[in-house]
Parts: sequence; structure tokens; C-alpha cells
Amino acid sequence: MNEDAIESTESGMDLLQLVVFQLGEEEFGVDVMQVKEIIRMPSITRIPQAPDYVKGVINLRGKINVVINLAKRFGQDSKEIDEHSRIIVVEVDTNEIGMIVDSVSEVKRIPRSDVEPAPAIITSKISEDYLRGVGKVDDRLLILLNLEKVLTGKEVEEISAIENSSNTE
Amino acid sequence: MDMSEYKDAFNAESEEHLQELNNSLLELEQNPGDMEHINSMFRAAHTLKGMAATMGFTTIAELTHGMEDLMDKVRKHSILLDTSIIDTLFECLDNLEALVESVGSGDEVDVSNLKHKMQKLVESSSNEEDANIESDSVKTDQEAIKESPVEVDVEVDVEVDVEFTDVENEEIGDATKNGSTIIAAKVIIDDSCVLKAARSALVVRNASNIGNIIRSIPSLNDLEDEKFDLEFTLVLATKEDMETVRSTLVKVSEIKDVLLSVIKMEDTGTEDEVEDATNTKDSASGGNTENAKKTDTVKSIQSVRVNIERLDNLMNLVGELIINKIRINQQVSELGTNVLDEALSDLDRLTNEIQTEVMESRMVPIGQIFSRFPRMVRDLAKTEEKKIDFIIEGKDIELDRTVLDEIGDPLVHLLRNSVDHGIEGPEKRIQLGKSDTGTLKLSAYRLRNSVIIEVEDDGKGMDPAILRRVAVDKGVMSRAEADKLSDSDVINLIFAPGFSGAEKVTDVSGRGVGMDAVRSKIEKLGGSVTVESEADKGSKIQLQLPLTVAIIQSLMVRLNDEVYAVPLSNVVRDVGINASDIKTIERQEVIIHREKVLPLIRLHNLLHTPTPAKDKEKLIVVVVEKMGNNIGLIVDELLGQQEVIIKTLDSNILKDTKGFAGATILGNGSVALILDIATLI
Repeated sequence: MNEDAIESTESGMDLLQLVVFQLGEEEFGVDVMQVKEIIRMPSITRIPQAPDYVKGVINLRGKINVVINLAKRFGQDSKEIDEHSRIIVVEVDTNEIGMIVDSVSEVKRIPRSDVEPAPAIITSKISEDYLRGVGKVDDRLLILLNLEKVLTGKEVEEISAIENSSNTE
Repeated sequence: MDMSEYKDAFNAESEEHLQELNNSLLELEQNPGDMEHINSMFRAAHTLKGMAATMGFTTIAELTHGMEDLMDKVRKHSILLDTSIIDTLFECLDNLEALVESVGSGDEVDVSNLKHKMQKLVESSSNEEDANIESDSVKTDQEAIKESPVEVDVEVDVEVDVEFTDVENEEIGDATKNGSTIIAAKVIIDDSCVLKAARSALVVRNASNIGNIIRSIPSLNDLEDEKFDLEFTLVLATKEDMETVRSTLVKVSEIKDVLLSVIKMEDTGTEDEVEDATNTKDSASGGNTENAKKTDTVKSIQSVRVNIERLDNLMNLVGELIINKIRINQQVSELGTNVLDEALSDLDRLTNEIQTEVMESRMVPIGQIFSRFPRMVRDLAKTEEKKIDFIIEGKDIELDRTVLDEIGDPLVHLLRNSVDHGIEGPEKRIQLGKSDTGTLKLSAYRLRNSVIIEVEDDGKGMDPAILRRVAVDKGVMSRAEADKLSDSDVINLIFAPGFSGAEKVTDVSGRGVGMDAVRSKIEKLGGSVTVESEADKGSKIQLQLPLTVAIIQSLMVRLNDEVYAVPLSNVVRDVGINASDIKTIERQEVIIHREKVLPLIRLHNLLHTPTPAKDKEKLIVVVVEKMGNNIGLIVDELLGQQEVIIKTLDSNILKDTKGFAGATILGNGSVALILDIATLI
């Protein structure tokens, strides 16, 4: 994964503007240009028979939006929903999807040059296909997501699982 | 003749005229010198009077008659048009509205005071020559006609070319032997007439009182259905003389002319002879006789009136068609074949086109709703002693009728809010360095696939600090929570249930319908609401509404705490059963229902929700049909039938999820899934 994959923000500067959120033990960043809004947990209507990481649908000002449980998407245990829980609504390929995250903390600007490929310690937990890289902020690591992959519903886990097993051989 | 079937038409037409009166009067208030408006008011009032008199609604006729008198004085400059007159006229319109509404309900509205008031105004006019104006009110249709007759002699040949059937010939023969004359009466209706069928019905009724109608051209049925242009012909066997016949027929109001000819039957055939051409009565515009010579050619029809129910039906069918299309696409993609690709893309295109056409046919200009508002805003401003310049833009924008029907109340609410809480009183505005007249703008425009309606005022706007305080006071949230919100989030607090930004409750607002009601209504239609506001600068509330909606009839069912919609097209019936009657055949639960084996499915299992206590004896079953087979679905409760707006679940993530045709937003803002029986079971 190289840094060219990350589009520059509107500022034109070599700065990436990221919405920083927490999920499990990690901190993540998502390009502010892809974020439509951040909302508190509304009532969610479950969709029976949908993939297990799909939490359901919500009424976002008259539009029906699918909401996914991001932790489940990564195959991790999800934290219980509490007062800090938020839904980040992102737009990917004209599709609007909400992602449940543990909390949203801030918006950070980081130079694009500070984005590096994700180290193995992270790719062992989250499929490499979902990642764009990591951004270094002081001594913190922000995991940058490849939302197109995370949210298109393609079952990349299986593919990457095969790749991983062949790599280790 | 039963007039009740004309009442709806009467109400609809009357409302149009009242609207016109209201609009003209508002204009007149702004430009008192503009005679065009008083003329158009006069015309509208006159038509209304004629219609009311015909229908026998004497109170309406009397009141409009009084208005005409008053306006006539104004028109002739014998009374100065001042606020007292304008207010009186407004009062008349309010009463008329109430009267029109009460038509058929038997309620009477007392207008005697108002009539008295108007009469005084009329009498106070110094013009002597008006002394002979009928001060008596109009009682019946005959009198309505006497009121301003313009007599013009016309010489027109009536050519009645009728081939009679044998039966008719016999009738004519008999009638002639009895001493009756056979008269062909060509009735010409005033071209401004709005209830032609009602007029023709009255003419027919009057005619049958004095004789026997042998033939009607077009047929009586067509007359009732208004399937004629401006004239029709009755062939009448009567013992009355020509003059009586004419006067009997012509006394129905809005009849421009009746031309008579005597038909003489001779051995050689039918010969028509014109014996008489009669007076023309044209009460409204004063004798335009050209129309009497109108040719009989039938104009090609450019538009058709369609019953709204039929359009709704069509709409429901399109909704179901779309669901079916989605289902077919789904099942074909399951099969993994591309044999049907071309046919399916054609089907896609056709259903889309049908949907567009049906939608288009339901579009109505938004002006129909907007036109109610100038009057409302004026009245509110007057009671609140505020000066408001009300601007309307985009009246021609069209919206689906369903949407239009629903947005009236929310708009009333928003406009009231602006007048009541938004725009300040004149002194306050001057203090703030604003013009003493506030501006309230209601505008509509198209934006891609939606219509935007904006209510914008230059009033005091919303102060985030006050909103925070109110939110805390009303217990919507804690102080700490309120402080954490950004200013733009704070403004969205006005949509929170139980939140009302009003500092004081007036008779205008504070009725318990808040912005949350506005939002839920708009969202239910598939639209959205946004607010922008700046303290002391004003507020702008924007409604985004869909141009089109897909609606289906559904049966709403409950499973535990979840609500699902079952398309009514799939539902055969619902039945109550006893759990003890359930049998098991090859591990499939069944019940004998109407002497047939009905397989049962516990919807709970299918939808992965806990099954309620097994020992429940009374169960509710919705019988649905799938491919010609009936299947019973066990649910917890039936919540009733409802029209729902379909929203597709077109997310990539859900492309492998089956069993749902889409989702819909319920009245409480929550989302309910619409079951797709074909892929669910």
C-alpha cells in the first residue's frame, strides 16, 4: 500500500483531514471528505437474514440507511452500545452507509507523507484489503480504512485468508 | 332529480371561486385603485351566486348577492373602498367558506348580522340613483336571473336535424293526436358555466314538468356525464305554448339562450320549421351572441377528467409491479443465467416508463396549496399587529398529489411559526435597524429528483443559547449534554419531541403540534427537513420532498417488538386459530382450514426472533399466497392496513439478503421492512 493511494484533501496542501474514531483497542481515521455526518445511535431496525455484521437500517431524515457493525465486519467482538457510541455515515460509490464505532474523538490533519503501509501487527487483526495504511500522529497510530472495500460487501476475508495461508507456507 | 351528486362538484367549484375572491381581495387591499380586481371579484361572486341559487342554497346566494351590491357601489365609485369594507368582504368570504363547507351537513351559518352590515354600507352611499337597487336578497333561482338581464334580440335559425326511430315516431304521432305540439328546444349554456351537468339536469327537469321528452341530443345519460359542449337539444311533446316553454327552460341560471322550433310530422318525412328565435339572457358579461351560432362539430378531446381513486389504484398497481420486477431480477440472478438479460432490461425500462407516466399524471401544481396562504398570513399579521410582506415563488412547480395533500398542514405550521415567533413587531424591527415590514418568503423549486420548498423570514431567528436553555428546562437533555452540542446541532433540537421554541404561548401557536410533527410528516413522505437560522437575521426552513412516491397497500403485523409490512396483494385473509388444532405432517406444522390443509410457518423462526410462549392457545395467522398455494404465517398481532411508501434497500451489502421488497418509514419515524413473500418463504 503506498501513499499515492490516498487522495489529497481539498486543501490542496499535502494534508489529510481525518475523522478519528475508536473501535476496540485501535484508533482509526477516515477521510473527512467521505464522511457525510456523525450521529448518535437512533433506533435501528434489524434485517433478518442479512450478513451478521449488518446491524440494520435507520431512518436518516427520511432516507433509509444501512448501518453496519464495524467491529463485526473485521471479525472482532463488538463492544456494547453505550452513550459514546456513534454512527459515522460515509458515502462510498453514491451509497450511504453508517458504521457503528465506539466513539468519535476529533478531526486531525496529518501530512500525507506520514502515511505508511500497515504493519503486520495490524494486518494480523484486520484484513490488509480493508486498509489503506497507517497514519502517524505524534506517538499514536491511526489506521486508515479503505472504505470501498470495507463497505462493498465483498467477502474479502476469504480471499485474504487464502493469501495469508499461502504466504505463511 | 337528486341534487346530492352535484354537491361535491359544487363544493369544489365554490372553493375555486372563493379562492379567487380571496386572492383578488388581497390584491385589492394592496392596490385599492385597481378596478380589475373588483371586476374579477364581482364575476366570481356572481358565478357563485348563480351556482348556489341553482342548487337551492339560498343563504349563500343571499350573501353573495349582498357582496355584489357592495362591490357594485365600489365599482361605480359611490362608496370609497376603505378598510371597513375590505374587512367586511373578508368576513363575507369566511362565512361563505363556512357555508360551502356546511352544505349537506344541515348546519346553518347565521349571516343575518353580516347582511345587515353590508346593507348599511350600501345604503350609506350617497348616490341617489342606486335607490332602486333590489335590497331584498335573492331567494330562488328565478330571482337570481331577474337581477341583471340584458335583453338582446337574436335571429338565429335553429336547424334541428333529427332522424326519429319508429318508437319515437309513434310517440310523436300519439302526442300530436292528443293536441301536443312537438318542439325542439336547443339550449345554449353560458360559456362561463362551471356546472354544465347541473344546469342541463335542471333544464331537463323543468322540461319534463311541462311535457314529455321524446328525445335528447346528446342522450340524457351523456348530459348527466357532462358529455356535451355548450349546447344540447331536447325534443319535447307539450301542450304549453312556445312562450311558456321558453320561459320555463330559460329560467335556469347560466342558460344563455333557448332556441325553439316546432317539428311537424308529414307524410313525406320530417321537416323542421323554425318558428321562433328567442331572447338571449346573458347576465355576466352582457350579451355575446356569437356563441349562439357555434357549430356542432365535436372538438377532439385533449384532456380527460380522471377520478383520483383510479389514479391511486394505478399507483398501487405500479408499486406492486415494481416489487415484482425486483423479485424477478433477484430470482434470475440466483439462477445465474443471462438468457433473460435482454428481456429483463426491457422490463426494467418499461416499468420505469410506466412509473414515470403514472407519476406525471398525478402531478399537481403546488400553487393549489400555496394560494391558501396569502390570506392566512394577512390575517395572522393583522391579529399580531405585524407588518409582513409575503412573497410566493414557484407556484407552477408540480408535485405528486399524495405529497401535496400532506404538506398543507406542515406548511401552515411553518408559516405560523414565522409570523408568530419569527418576525418581530414593527417597533422592535425599527429598533434593530430593520425595515418595519418583515419579509416572509415561501418558495418552491425543482432540484434534480426532488422539490424544495423553503419558508424563509427575516425575523429574529433562533438563538442557540435560548434553545439550549429551553432544551434543559423541558428535560430534553442535561445541561452538560446541551453545552456539548454545536450551534448547528442545537438548532436541530427544535425537532425533538416535546420541544417548542416559543417563549410564550399564543392562540396561534402552542397547540402542541411542534416541529417534530412537521418532521415526521415530511419524513413519512420520504422527504427531509433542514433548518438554518441566525439570531436577529432570520430563519430558513427547507423541506426536501420527493417528486415521486411508490405506494402500496400493506397489512402491518407485529412480531415481538418488531413491525413488518405484508403487501396486501399477497394477503388472502387473516384467521384466528387454536394452537391445539395444529397438526404435524412430515415435520411441517399444518392446520385444516376451510377443509384444506394449510401449511403454517412461524414467522418468528423465519425472521430469527424469539418465538413467544409455546403454550399460547389463540394464534393469529395471515394467509398469504405464493405461486397459487396458500400458506399461513403466524404473527403476534395485526396492526391494520396502511398505505406505505416503498424505499428500496439497494445497498451492495444487502444484495444477497432475501425476503424483503424494501423498507418504509412509519408514522413514528421508525423503519419497518416490507416482506417479499416470494423470496421469503
